[in-house]
Amino acid sequence: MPRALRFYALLAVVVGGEIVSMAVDRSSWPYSTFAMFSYTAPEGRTLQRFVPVGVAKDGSEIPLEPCLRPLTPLQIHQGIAAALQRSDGDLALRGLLRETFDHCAGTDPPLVGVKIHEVTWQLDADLEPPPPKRIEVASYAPVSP
Amino acid sequence: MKLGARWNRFWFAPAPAEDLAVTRFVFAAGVFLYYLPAGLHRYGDVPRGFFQPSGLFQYLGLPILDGASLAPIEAIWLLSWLALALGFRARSAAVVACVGSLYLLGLKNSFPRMSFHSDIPTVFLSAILAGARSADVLSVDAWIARRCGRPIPLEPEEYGWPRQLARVFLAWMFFAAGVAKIRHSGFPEWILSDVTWISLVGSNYASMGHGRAPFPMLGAALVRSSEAFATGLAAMTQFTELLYPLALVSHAARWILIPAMLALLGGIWLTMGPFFFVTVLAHAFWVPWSAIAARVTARRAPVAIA
Repeated sequence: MPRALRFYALLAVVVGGEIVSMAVDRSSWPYSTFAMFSYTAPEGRTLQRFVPVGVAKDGSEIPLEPCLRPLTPLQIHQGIAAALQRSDGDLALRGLLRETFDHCAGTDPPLVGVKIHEVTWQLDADLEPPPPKRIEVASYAPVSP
Repeated sequence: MKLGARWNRFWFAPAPAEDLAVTRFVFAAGVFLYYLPAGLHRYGDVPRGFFQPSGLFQYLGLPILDGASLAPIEAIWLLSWLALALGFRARSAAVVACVGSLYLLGLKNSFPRMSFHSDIPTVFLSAILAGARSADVLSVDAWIARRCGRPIPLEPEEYGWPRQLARVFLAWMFFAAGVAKIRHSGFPEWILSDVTWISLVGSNYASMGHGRAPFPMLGAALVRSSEAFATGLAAMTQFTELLYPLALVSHAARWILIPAMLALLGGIWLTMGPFFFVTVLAHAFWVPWSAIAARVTARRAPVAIA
């Protein structure tokens, strides 16, 4: 293939696509607006994360992050936030909880349900971070037959 | 100089084949080693409720295969990166590497949509290598051609543009990040906001990126040392992003902006956690490998004594 054809085809695909992505302000893999960390924080100096936990028979709560790997804690948080933002947020979240339970039910100890906590830290540059505020956002337990 | 001549000089200036070949080796070998332990096939078994399809999956209707089916695809994809590094069937290997990156990394970036920006150069730079003659020297392909008595004729105009296109892509990436901050938060509002302060201090509480920062308390310590630290760092970040394209046209700017950007990416990893490894690796496209080799050789050469 002639050099000019290879070059201009690649220029259009690589740079042209990125320019369109910026012009319409929309990311669509693999094109991106590279908007990471570009939004200011309206809630001030706080940090919020959605954290799923499993509920064991004795009522104790078990972190589900190891069971959900390769998802990272940030991906789990973003996935839950994305489900909540959907127009059918409650339904989407319920589906996500049910699938998470099915995926992680066999862990040790066996689970009887799953919950999602919203954890919020009031950030402070001091060495000893204050404890976070925890709110239960949603829960799921399969109905016993 | 006329515009057309400037355009041609910018893109098609003659360059040593060795520069492109070493870049190919460094980038492809780095990508291979980086993704080798990643286990991307495991995304096939993640609960689908977390799946938020990127455009590629949404519009093309690409299937999400299960982990067992994805494992051999991932193995072939990794082998293609190894073959590209060695320069064995280099252009075919680059095509497989690019298509594999689109699918496998696209799948990863659908949990949820577009969460790993550092994966993006993997796709585009493999596409550039697929269109380039990066294995004319220092490769298994070149060795086989010589053994068969058909050495590959070298054309210096072939070896500059792929590196230049990769550099333009990198410049665009950083420039776009700077523009996004203006668009979504304003200028200088983003610099004066708490975003950088939160990222520096927040890593002491939870992961700010996909991995924990090696020194999660360092950010908070730096902020404690001076309230202006976060604002200064934010200003440096945004100006380096917006000015990065100057490195394409100015040697002086290149010597300032590229080390500054690499230092920022390293600092972000150390204090906040996000690890832009492939983006750092992509800076191999800036390195004048043959000039460095010539300098090292000249230093090592014995000095004649009169």
